[in-house]
Amino acid sequence: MAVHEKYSEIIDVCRRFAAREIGAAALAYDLETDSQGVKALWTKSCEVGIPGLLIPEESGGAGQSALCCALVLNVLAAECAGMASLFADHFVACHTLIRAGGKESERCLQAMANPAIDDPAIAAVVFPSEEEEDPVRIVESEGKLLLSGRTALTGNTSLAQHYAVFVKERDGKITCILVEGGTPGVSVGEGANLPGLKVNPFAPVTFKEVEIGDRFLVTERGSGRELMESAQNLFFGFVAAIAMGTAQRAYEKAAGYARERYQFGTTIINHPEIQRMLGTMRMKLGVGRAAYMDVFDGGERDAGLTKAFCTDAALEIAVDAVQIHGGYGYMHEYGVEKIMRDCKVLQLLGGRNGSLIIESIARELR
Amino acid sequence: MDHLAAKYGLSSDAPDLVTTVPALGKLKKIRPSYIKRAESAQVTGRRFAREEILPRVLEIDKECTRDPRYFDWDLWRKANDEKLTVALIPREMGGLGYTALGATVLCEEMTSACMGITANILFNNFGLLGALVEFRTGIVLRIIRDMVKAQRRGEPLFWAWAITEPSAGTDVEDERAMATMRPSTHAEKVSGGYRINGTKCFITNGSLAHYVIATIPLDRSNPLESIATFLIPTSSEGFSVGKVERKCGQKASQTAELIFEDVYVPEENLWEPPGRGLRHTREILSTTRGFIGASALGVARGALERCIEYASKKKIGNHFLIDEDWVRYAIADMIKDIKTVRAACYNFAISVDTYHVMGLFESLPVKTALKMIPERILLSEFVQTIGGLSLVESLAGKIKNRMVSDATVERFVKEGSAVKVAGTDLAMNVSSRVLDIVGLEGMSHRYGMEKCFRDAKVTQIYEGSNQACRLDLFHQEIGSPQ
Repeated sequence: MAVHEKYSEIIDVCRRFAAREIGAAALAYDLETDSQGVKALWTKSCEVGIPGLLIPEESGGAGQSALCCALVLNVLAAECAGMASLFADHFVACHTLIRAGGKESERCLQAMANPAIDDPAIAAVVFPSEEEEDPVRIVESEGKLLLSGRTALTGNTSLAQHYAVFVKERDGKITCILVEGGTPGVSVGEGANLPGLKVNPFAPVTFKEVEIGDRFLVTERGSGRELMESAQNLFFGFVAAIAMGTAQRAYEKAAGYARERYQFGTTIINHPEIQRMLGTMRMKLGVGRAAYMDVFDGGERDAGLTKAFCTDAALEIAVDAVQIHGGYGYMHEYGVEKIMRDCKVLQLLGGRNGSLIIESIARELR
Repeated sequence: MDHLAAKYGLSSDAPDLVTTVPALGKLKKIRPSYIKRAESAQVTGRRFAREEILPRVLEIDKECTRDPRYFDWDLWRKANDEKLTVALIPREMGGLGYTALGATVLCEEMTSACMGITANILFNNFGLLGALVEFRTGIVLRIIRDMVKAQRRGEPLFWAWAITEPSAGTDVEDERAMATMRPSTHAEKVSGGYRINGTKCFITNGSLAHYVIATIPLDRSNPLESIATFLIPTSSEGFSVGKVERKCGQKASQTAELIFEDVYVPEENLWEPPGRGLRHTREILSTTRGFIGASALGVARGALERCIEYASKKKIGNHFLIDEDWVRYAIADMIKDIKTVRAACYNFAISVDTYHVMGLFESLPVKTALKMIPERILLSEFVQTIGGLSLVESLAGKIKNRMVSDATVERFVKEGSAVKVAGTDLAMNVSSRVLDIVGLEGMSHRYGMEKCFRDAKVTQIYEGSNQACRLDLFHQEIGSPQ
């Protein structure tokens, strides 16, 4: 694919980095997350320029496109979807700051492109949720702007230095605010302990009368809807790319195992039923890959629907990959059941697929 | 609209056996004691699940993630005090006397809380099923006596079935596959018995077992003609437990590698002679696959019931999650599937009680003996010695073989495979779909639903992979190719 070749060098570098650094740690971090280890990995990833991939060259980054980021996430996810999800959250936050512009955004972007060795600048993004009892709001008190409320489960939380927070105001308008991780009043709640993407510290974030001040409004108050939608769509595209990356690895593992495993007098890849399962995987991978790349290609493709399709397909692929591995597939050390758990969480990132599918039609009727 | 948490399934105390499968109501009129016993199994299972398993389930899952050898002995002792560990043994001999229907219902209730914990408590009863395959009266009586005595002392007596080998899963369970199998284990005839070498893997309760029932070939190059079944005490010299696996789910239930290094087994522990080992495996599978189907059905129910409770309380904007149209359709669809599979599971269990090995307990000689002879004599060494007389064993064998012929076994492998595939595919579909409904937060460990998803996957793999089950189903229903 021509569009792909443009990035082949970057992708090869990232693939080698992922195989060397992430592949070795993925299973251990799946059992027990080590935030210092994750930060060290992040710092190493700066050597190949991953955190600054999307950041413009004038801010110290690589100035690459969103498609390039998606392709990189795809190869990172082959080693660990959880690690890839950290970068996806970060990229979406970067995108938000790049699009919003302004002095504070610029300062953050520069820090993220050239992070400190011992404490890398990782960003997180918070989207408004309808599900929280105490949704995040901007309140005015004694002439000051304060941020208060509790977010839904958010990625990157305890690792993040910068939060791009989209707030839904009482009148339904959207405002985007930049919040620094260490600001008084910002606290990360108890980790969710999800079945997959274990390396990503999903948790609610509580803002308790966090002083914002004008300079941290990255959009003019109430004018952030378009930015939020573009960030959400970007996130959906990234999740789809991650899903296809990790599912591709599940397929490769299953095909490899099927070539070795002897049963019924032959290696099992010779059984048509196994061929059917592998062929179905390949079919879904081909369509899913084309679909997510199309999202970034300026096409009209619905990013939410693409995420729904790709993550559903990824789970089906992973479940069948476990099945082909038999009992071995259920054991942690083979790394296949981890892919299945990761895919299950990917399906729910950014919203329920069932809701996204309905919403794709319903919003046309409004 | 406000929803109360539905008093449904696990969240309700009331037995609902006859209301969920109405045909059982008709059967109750004809055979009241049979259905009442199953109802009592449901009450017992649900109470134990609610009061004992549910409060501990998530903590045990966490502990076992840290250490795969963690075992909650307190919980096991509570189950043992309630005789759940000897549920299938006749009441007259100290058990609960559950029929296959009763055991199925009990499995379903307990697995709806946790399938791993259930395996620790109930699957041990299958040791008895293993003995019933032979129906050598001496052995059966001895095993019953040992199990009841251990239960009364409050001591564990674990059995494990060792079939799977590192290089052979399906191959050890299927005649056509076994012809080309590459065995990892080997038994050699020596004076007075056999010497066993090799490795078995993924053995449920293997690390806890006092006895292992293993199928092992005498001739590695010809396993089909030479595979035999042995009873191997784990205290035997040369036996050791290898690694205890770190699994995706069902973590409370230990899965271990068993290593045999020159293990000597005396002649009397040969349960099935060379060439008959596969028949033994098939007879075991002919009942256990159905129980796995029912257990997986419980996993599906547990996932759905937790989801209904969560969705009834979870507010999204100005409505509850359960008020969303697509959620209602999805839940209705899952209820439909659960109802259908449940009817199939109970139908299978009733068939096992009527036409298969459990029918022996209803046969005239067994029934009369249980009714006439007091328990202390039934459990005595004297009766065991009489049971071991060759005249008695051959008579009992005749009765059993008339009831459970080779054709019966293959018919039940077929029916059991259908129920197993239906139940386990259901468990996987429902536990996954439920997470699609409850969303990211609902997927947190504390709500227990993601655990159902992790637990469910292995049910499609063990006790004969669902591919192997489908092949059995096809071959027994339509016929084998030449």
